[in-house]
Amino acid sequence: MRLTPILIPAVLLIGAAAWSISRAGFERADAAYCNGAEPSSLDPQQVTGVPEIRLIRALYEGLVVRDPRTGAPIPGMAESWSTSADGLTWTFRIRGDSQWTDGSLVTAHDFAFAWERLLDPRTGAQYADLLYGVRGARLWAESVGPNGAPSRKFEEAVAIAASDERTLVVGLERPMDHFLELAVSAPLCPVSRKALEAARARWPDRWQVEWTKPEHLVTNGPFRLVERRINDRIRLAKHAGYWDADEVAFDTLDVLASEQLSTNLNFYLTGEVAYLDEVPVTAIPRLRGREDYRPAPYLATSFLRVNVGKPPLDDVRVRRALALAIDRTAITSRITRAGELPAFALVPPILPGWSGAELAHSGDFARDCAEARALLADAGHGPGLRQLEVELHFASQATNKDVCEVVADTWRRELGIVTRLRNQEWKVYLDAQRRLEYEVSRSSWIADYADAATFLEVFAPGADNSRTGWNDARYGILLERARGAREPERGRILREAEELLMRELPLIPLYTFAVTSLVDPRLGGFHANPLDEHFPKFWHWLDDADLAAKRAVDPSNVERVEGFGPSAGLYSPAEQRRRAAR
Amino acid sequence: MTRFLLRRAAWACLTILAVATLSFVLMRSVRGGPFDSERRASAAVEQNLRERYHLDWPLWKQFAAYIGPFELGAHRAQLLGGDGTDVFGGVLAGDLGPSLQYRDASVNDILAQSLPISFALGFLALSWALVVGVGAGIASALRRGTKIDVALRLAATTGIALPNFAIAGFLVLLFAFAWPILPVAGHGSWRHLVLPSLALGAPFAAYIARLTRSGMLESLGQDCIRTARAKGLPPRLVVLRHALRGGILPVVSYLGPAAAGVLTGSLVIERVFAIPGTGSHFVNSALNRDYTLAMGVTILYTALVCGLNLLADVVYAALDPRIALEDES
Amino acid sequence: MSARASSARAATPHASRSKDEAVLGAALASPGPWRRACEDVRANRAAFVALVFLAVVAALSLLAPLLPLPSPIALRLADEPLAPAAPWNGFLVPGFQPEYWDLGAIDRALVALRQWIFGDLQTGPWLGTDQKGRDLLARIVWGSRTSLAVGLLATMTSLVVGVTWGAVAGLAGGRVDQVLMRIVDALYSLPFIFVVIFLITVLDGWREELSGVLGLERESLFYVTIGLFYWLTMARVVRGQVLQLRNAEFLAASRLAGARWPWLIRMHVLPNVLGIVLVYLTLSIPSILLFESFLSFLGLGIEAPKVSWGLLAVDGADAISPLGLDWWLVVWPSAAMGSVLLALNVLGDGLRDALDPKGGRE
Repeated sequence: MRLTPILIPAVLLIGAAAWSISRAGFERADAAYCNGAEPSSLDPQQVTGVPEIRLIRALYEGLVVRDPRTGAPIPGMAESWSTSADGLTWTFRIRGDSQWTDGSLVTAHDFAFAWERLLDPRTGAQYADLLYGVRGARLWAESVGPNGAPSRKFEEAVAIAASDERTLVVGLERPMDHFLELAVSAPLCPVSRKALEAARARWPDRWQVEWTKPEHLVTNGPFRLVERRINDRIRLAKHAGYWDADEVAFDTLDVLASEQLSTNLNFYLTGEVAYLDEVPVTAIPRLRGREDYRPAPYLATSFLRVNVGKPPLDDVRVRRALALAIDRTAITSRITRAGELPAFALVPPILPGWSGAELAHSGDFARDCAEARALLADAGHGPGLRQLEVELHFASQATNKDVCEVVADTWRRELGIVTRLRNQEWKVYLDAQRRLEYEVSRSSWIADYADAATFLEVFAPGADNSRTGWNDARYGILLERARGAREPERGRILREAEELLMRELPLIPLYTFAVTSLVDPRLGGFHANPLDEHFPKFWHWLDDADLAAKRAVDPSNVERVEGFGPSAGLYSPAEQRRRAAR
Repeated sequence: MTRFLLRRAAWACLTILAVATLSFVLMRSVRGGPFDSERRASAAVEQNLRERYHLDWPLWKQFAAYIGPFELGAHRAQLLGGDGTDVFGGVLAGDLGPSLQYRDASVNDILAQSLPISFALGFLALSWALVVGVGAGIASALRRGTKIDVALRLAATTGIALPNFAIAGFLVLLFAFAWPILPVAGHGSWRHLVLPSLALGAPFAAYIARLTRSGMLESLGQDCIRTARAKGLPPRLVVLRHALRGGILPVVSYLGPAAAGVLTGSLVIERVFAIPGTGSHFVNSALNRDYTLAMGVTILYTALVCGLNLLADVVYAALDPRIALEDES
Repeated sequence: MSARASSARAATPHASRSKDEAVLGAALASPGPWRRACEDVRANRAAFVALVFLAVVAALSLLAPLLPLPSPIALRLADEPLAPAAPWNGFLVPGFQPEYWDLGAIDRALVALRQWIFGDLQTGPWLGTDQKGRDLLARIVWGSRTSLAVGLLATMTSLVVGVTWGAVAGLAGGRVDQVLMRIVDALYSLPFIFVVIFLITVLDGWREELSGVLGLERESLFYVTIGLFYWLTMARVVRGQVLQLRNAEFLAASRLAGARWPWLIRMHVLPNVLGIVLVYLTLSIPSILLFESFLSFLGLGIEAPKVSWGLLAVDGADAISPLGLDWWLVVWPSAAMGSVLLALNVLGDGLRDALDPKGGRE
């Protein structure tokens, strides 16, 4: 029997399998958490979504970070800052003792370089508009030459400059009291000018895929990149040159990329990860009452975009009727079930310091439906009149379908409308929305920073992200006035804008999101906040004494869960010294 | 033999080229682009991104840039994208291009990381499927008509009847929670591959059992077997040396499509068990409109399928000397 | 699938000459392979039981609107979402709501008839309900309509295209055969997921035209899309069978004895080919159903609010959680799908054994 044709491939396959398996193993990290999808990039200026933002928080540090308890901006790379009297100039003093992973000091030039990159259209940064409030920034970014490069020099055109190694001066178009909120954002983190320019010189065509490799990446945050396995995990290790390295507890941290929610839950329940930011909806009833289940409101709104150009939706009475006849309580209590709040406004009311304007409603669902029916009859639809047909468009993610089913069901029962459900794959859905090829489309918006403008600017006339065809000049004027105003006048103007929005209804608010986090009880330094932003530099493992103390504060009817952290805890060197001294 | 291999290799290259062209055109015809997202970038930024990856070129030019390192010399400036880079090295030069979704990695890097893992998983799955399937098939054939036969056939059909993500769920419950001896998901050691390969291999084990059974039955009924028995050879020797060689032929010719099917079935298994293999890239790249990664995986997959079919034919010929390698007459 | 196996067996040379003569004699003298096949199937008890079972399932499927089942899509959000499976409590309870997706005229008539017969009554939660209060038994029965329709229509499509392709390739031979089979090989290597997404989204874009002019809705397009994949294996199988027959000595002998091609095709080629085709049909429906559940897992399958077994399988897989097992959401849909697939496989095996023209086995 001629066995060679069988033996050779068999040996090769076994060898390949064995080699792959042998390369796989490594030691457990001090802690791990699930980060959702694989991040598209470790380049701070190319951040596109939440998974990237979380990772940037561990690898880089911007001017300011958030206090874990209050969420307020506290010094990060900037040890102090000041504003001019007219509020137009911000001066940041960069600390002098923080290093990049290659040993060089972080300077203000790195910030200026990074912010220039952010605005430069050649970088391909989605969040470039975060800095459009800076004097000259928008004009510079939009006047491009034939090869796509800005036609003027950055230093001359834009009011961002590093006056010396440790001072960054930013000039704004108009006073922005919330500029610090913007400065916390991940895309505004610095990159090492030296490292990036060296990468560009060394690999002229391939530097994008080379400079972010673990062996080449230079970062300034509490952790540095050790290994990256696409779709598996990213291993981080403590960065010794970080200014606050003494306060960082974990020596190694793993960031897992796994999208399947049930798998993530399994990871958590077996102690593979310490923190999970989303649980499957079906698991929520069983998790309620556990001490590690911490649902918290999120600065994000779920709403229905309405294509105001398409009849019969061009009639505001029809839009208002549709908005009133939605049983939001049923959706939040039966479908999403994580403690979301029914929303009658675009900006979530949990935004600190905000009081907004709501869609006018009576508070009693039956009365609202009656009003809706009257409105429809007024507009010429209803029993005996023209039958109203609406198409409800959504992308094929789990709760989207369920929410739309409930909405369609309620519209049918209360208003007699025939609703067609149209389910599209994510990219096709986005494309259809962009081309206004829909009637009503389920959408959502997550806040980029903690201010109402991040929501209200979405529907500005001519905005890319509006995608409703709604161009109201009055709204545009109000937003323009708000841009130049200071608190509390600004708050009032924005409230007026929201009032207009809720009268005209290019969108129908549904509910405010809630994050359903599962956090190991032994994980300290973790606090829920409305933006769901977490900074791993503050995390540590609690020892038994601290855990008992924490539990003494919790209500007693909570189901205790044994965490997976070490019983002796794991504290930062500084904390250990403080404890020893006590 | 050499001529046969060369001819098949030539056909394989032709197939790969045809598949690559077809996929290229198909993928770009689907609605939605790689840079579409909920929060859109400004028009200038989008334009630059498109220029960087040459998405604004005519289709044939994009295809040429993707396929070959066509040295354009003085026209190099035309090759440059919006940020002054030329990111496509050409497939013929071994560079499958940069990934559009994972902007930090090239397709070569991604495939180099994920392919060995998928190999390991697929190999393990097929191995145990072969062992269990052939064993069950032989047992079933030898004890034809008895309760054991019926029970094994029933088990085999159940393996085919349930979707593999349902089987995976049960396995996880059993072996990661009820009796926690194996990790629940992820990738770190050989133990992480046990449950996934079980779930992945189950339908193939069932199918192989059925094929082996029918192949063995046919083989056992042949004259040469009766002769061997009449000669007085012990039954086990009869089975293993004589009947098996003939009975296993349908299994061998099934191995080609089976291996391809393992690659497909791994899409779901890799998602359920969070294994960073090529299967997850297969689906995600299509859904993300990551053209280069999708093309890279397509080309790889095509080459694998052609190679596996060729391998199966060669092994088949090795096992049965009556079969010529050219089976069309 | 078993395509390669069949073509492999086709290449196996026949046994001794005396056996050939016996077969030839039997073939020339037999009353017709079909009648013998039917007798064989009836004799094979397992296959017969499977056939009866499938007939019952098909009948239940067709008559689903007439049965006193609750609506499969009525959301009962006022109830506690996770109702435990209490199969024997409440045989027939009131509270029927006739909520369905767009039904055809016949189905609407059946629903009206059902309301006249049973009034307000519907079955209680015999198999339990899912997280949204929808009755599981109703979803299984109504889901069978969608899934079996997918299976049948897809196999019909693959049948038409595949048999033609394979027969032409097998009969023509030579260059034509090579080219046709190479095309099949190339298409086999194409990653199906892209083609499926492409077809579904492109055809989605023309939804209005298609549904208005041709009366085709998304589900029909879906069936056709799947069917266009399965014809590849069918073509291979048919070609293998045709090749075997072309090479078969008994055909040459018959021709020598004076038989003409049309008679040979009718008496021997057709039954052989149709036999294997029929077997393949029953064996590919399970694989199509699994493919459908696979697509549903990826979110590309049947649209809401319709229900199919694939969607039920995905819901069931979600219900398997270490926090608590809603066993009924997994067990009943799996049992339904598994038993139908088992029956199809058994029937396919029986048919294959029965239609094998090589005569009696040991």
